[in-house]
Amino acid sequence: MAAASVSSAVQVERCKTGIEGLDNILDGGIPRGNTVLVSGSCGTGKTTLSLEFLVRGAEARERGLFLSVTEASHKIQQNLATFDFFDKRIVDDGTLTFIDVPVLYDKLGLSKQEMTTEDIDLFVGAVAKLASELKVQRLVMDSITSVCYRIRHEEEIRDLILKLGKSLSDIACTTILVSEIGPQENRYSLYGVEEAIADGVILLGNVQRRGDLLRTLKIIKMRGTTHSRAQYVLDLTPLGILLAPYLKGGRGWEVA
Amino acid sequence: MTPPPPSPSPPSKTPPAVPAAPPAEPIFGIPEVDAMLAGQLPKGWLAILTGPPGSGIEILAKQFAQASGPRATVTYYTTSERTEDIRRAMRDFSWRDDLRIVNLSDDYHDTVLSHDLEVSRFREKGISPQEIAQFRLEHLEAPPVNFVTRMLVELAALDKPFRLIIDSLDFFLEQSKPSAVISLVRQIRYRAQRAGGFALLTLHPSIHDSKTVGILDDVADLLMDVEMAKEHMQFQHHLTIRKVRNHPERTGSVRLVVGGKGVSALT
Repeated sequence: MAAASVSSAVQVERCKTGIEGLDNILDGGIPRGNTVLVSGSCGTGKTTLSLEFLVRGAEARERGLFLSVTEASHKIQQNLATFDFFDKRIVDDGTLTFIDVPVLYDKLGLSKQEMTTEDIDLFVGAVAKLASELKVQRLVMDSITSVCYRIRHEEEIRDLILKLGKSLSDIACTTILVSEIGPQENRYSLYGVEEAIADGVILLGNVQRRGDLLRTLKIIKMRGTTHSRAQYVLDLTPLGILLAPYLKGGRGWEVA
Repeated sequence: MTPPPPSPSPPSKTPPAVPAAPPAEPIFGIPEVDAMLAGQLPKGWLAILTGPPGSGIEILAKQFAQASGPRATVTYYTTSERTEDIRRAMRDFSWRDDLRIVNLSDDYHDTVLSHDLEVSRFREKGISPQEIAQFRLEHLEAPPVNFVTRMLVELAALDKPFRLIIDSLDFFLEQSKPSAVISLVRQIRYRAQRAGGFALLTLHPSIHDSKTVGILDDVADLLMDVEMAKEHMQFQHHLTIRKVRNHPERTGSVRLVVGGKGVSALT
């Protein structure tokens, strides 16, 4: 892979995720402006990882935008408040902004079941305008899968992610697109298109070990940087995510 | 030992049917037109009044409201006029001013058109963070009102003699499937028969498909059509009664003029 041959972190400006262990795995962070798919089945920590990425960014005075497609953003903020790493002041002072995508759909007249090519352009344009006016450097869309549900053709999904990625990359915004997949799928996105276009794929999963359900993390690809391809155990703590090497051994390991 | 009193019959959800002998009520209060119906508009009848724009069917609809008996509740459903314009027109002809006006066009504006206008603005100019911050997920507007459903709810409350005017049915045919509108018209007729009412619905048939218009014609007891003919640089209006249920001999036509007391026939 050409991107993996990039040898030095100084060649590419990094967006430090601030998540314990993840920046080391990524050789310093996500290359700034990349669009990264965070894929996983339910309960694997996709939303928490994405939120911590924004909160850590806000601590470093990088503005963030969370676009919530499936869940009411006020509920997400309530859940976020249970983590010690979250300080509500970053929302109050506008460093971190939450927007409910259904509101955007309603105001742009995109409430129909199916989005046309014109609708996709309008949606991408609206997101890019919001990101630009808010001067955000980090953006999360949770989930891109829910947006894609409303698009009939794979070419249009490709078009959406390409245009979204480009318009956000143009303003040096590093983007996480949350991708929902089934527990035992052999791909990283529902339609298979998203993973091919994204600059990076971070796969989250569950592994059962002697009755415990462990969360795991693996970097599948990340353009513009070298990275580990090992599997890590992801621990959700009140202080945030902790990554530890996944040590094989003993009996009773199986993919959940 | 006296036999037990007969148990009362269970309350009926619908009012009892009105006895067959109907008192005379004028349609519009135009003697020549009433004469064509032998002076009687049978209770429970549903009339459809058609005509092209400018033919005067709106003023005839108001005159139908005016011609009701004093005991009847009159409800005027408008889909295109302002409420104050209807009241002004009623005053201009010194007609009754106690009718209940339900302005569906205002509701349509509030629930559909104003939202469409806002959407057009955001689609054209984009939406700013400040603008989107004003809206909350929980405050998103409810789905557009189903006006057919709303009319059905209104109908369910009619249990006394009434006059009901819908000006016009075109609005319902624009908003809902023809089958739903036809069902609504059947419901209105049924309600008029049960409660002893009269209904007048206006329609521009040329803008709808012939099947829908044909079924509506079939449901109606009375079909009236206003035609316009240009003569000597002026339009003449003729009211034709095209269908009188069970009385095809009573069909005919009169020429209409509008004077200070409303529409009358030119003899």
